[in-house]
Amino acid sequence: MTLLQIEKIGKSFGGLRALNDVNFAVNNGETVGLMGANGAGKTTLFSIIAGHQPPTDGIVRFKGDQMTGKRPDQICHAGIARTFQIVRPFARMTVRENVETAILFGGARHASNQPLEIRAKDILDQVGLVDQSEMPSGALTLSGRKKLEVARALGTGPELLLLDEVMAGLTPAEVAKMLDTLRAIKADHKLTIFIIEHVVSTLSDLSDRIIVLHHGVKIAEGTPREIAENKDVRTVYFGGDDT
Amino acid sequence: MDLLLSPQLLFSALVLGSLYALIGVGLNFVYGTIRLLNIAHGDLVMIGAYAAFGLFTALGLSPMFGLPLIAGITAMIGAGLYFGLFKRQLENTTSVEQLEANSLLLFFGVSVILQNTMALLFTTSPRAYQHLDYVISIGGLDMTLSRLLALVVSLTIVFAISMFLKFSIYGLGISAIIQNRDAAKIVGIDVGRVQLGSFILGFGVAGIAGALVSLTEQISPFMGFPFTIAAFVVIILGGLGNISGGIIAGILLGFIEIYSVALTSATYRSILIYGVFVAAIMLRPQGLFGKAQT
Amino acid sequence: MTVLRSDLAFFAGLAILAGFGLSVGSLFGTYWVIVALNFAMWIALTQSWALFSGLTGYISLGNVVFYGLGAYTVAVSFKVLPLWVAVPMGGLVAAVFALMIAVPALRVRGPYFVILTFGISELVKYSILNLETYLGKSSRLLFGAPSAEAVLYTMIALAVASSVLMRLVKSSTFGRGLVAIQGDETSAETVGIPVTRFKVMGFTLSAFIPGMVGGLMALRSTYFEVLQVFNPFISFTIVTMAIIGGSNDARGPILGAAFLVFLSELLWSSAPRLYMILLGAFLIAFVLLAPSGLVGLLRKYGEGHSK
Repeated sequence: MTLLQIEKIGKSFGGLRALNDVNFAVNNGETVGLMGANGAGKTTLFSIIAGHQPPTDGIVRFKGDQMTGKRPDQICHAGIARTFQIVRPFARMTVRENVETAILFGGARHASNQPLEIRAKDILDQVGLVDQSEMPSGALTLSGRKKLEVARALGTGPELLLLDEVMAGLTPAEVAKMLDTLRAIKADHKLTIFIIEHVVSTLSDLSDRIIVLHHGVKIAEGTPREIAENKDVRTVYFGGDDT
Repeated sequence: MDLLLSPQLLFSALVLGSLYALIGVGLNFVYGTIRLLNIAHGDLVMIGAYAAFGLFTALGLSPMFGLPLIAGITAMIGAGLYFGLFKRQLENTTSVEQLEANSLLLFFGVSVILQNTMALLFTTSPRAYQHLDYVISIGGLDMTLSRLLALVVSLTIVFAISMFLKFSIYGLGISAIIQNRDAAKIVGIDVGRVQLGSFILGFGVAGIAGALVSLTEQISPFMGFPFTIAAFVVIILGGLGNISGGIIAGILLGFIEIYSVALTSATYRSILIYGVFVAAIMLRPQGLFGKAQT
Repeated sequence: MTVLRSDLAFFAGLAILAGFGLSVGSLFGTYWVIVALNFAMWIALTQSWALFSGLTGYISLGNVVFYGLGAYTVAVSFKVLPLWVAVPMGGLVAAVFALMIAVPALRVRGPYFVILTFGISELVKYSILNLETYLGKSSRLLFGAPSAEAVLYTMIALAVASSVLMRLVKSSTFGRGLVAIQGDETSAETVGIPVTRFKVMGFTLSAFIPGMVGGLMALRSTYFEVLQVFNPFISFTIVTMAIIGGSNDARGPILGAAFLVFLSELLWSSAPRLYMILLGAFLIAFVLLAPSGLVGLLRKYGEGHSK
């Protein structure tokens, strides 16, 4: 079943065309990777899906409903959560309060009668932050803040999780742990994941399917293996088709 | 219609506009470049005006020759504030929002202290002095030498500053910091020194503007605030850090003020100034020449 | 259960303070009625400011506009409307004004919001000044206004109401949303907080009590003069009190108001310039050295002792 449908999305900034006629779908239960060089339009696409920027053309549908034109908080309530590449915790709140706030206002705020604190702790436990619960969010390490982004997104009770480079800047050991975490939360929360990642091997490891953007245009879509063998992708990534 | 074409009015608008441009340039150094919300800027103009007044009445020194000294006084205040209040803030505050909020409150404290210290020292009564007030007539236009000088000097300084920013190493450093502070650090720009430079230049320019203002109107300890407001209008309309945009915006503001008062009545002056101010922020926060963000 | 106990302590302390204020006239005489009135007025104004600006971080430098509009409403409707209608009407006018400007004003963030609020309050001041000149009223006398005691009692009620409101909002879901907006507005939207609606509601809510306070103070001074009731100094004092006291806790504005009212009693009549200079110096000192204000210092002291 199609969960997220991207229809003819285009985005211009002044004269610059950041996205052009992008079409694809993400199905329920899938993990889909989004790949592309810097400036390919990946984060812009996320912002459009989450309602932070309006697209210039096209429509985003979620479970058949049109999302384009809705505000970010409405889209959150519909069941889409996102993380930010440049982490944006709530300053002056502890780690736990950050997650509690997401639970209080997110789409799943009425889903459980358990005390807020317990619900927040459960999520923090899953992402491996429970020991830092009472820390000010600003005091976390980079890897901690990336985990907090994931925990806060989970707190809203999403069906679709948009992850924007949650593993960038982490050490290989931390990346391995994050991959395990993501697999575990995906199974546990019955999530669909749409993920941007720079490192191709990490993305291939996690994704069922990969979509490749280049200068705002979708140039390929397929299984990690198909993408690895795709001529256009190889040209763009490795320069020239002689390899 | 005669009124609109009167060279007298045109001249007044140009004088006021060029002063506004100069004051806006000063604020651009401190707010436009390092994001410190200097709401005491107009009070530095006031200090400059008193310094000019003091030098003239006590020593008989013409503000024209006293300009470097006056600029030095306000620049020293700037350097003192930088080391005393803002250096650590700039180094330790990570978020721009926090820095802006704190700097607003600190400068507000500075503003209150400056105004009231001056009121304590020199009373609140307005002061003025007669200097260079020969009338020069060109065509149908009568102008006092002092106003003509205010116009010429402020435009010269604004122009010199914009050249300096465009072509000097320091200017390049400033533009680099505006664009990306961390990257500027990495390529070896001494951010602290450029910030100190911004304080010294911004405050020094405010002092000069004050000396020129004292040639054209009465001065008092509480004269600064309208200039602060005008300076913000200028840098918002002209665009943050955009010196040539600021010149146009300053002249524009001078024209709006002089002509609308001439066309309606002096009682509407404040409404007009604040009306332009509110409209500028609400409708064109990105400036007249900036692109709207989508 | 510590939350409950601290709530209890707060409300008990508030009740004692209010009771003391109510009896100050009979205990110490008229002079102290005026001091108590001032104190209650600044508490009500500063709590209302903290409710929006303290929680969201949108620093307003123009809250006097609410005060002034309330005063103007009461002055214009004096002898036309009964006072028990006119004073709440002042609050309502201020709140409606806040609602009207909220959407365009709150679109701009950070420093632009700060200077915009100031600009709006000055614009309203000069507009009303011109309107009054046009109507031929340089000032309005309010003969037969209620006694100082009556005004004091109402003002104490407003101070208590604003303190309770701040406390309740702070611990509510709504308050949590406002604090999240201060933390990061984009993140706040992303986790489902209706950011615009919350900001507009908070801003409107923070205007109501200052409107009533302004109406009361017009009655107290028995005349209405535009430049006086729209004096930006009132906005500045509110911010200074909130910063000195601490603005994200209902105890802060009370402490900040107490501190500056005390200082002003000491100095205002004899050395007003010195008072202002000290006010600026204290503001700077607190921003640099104790950014959480007196409340933060108390909290630190308390933690030091419980260890």
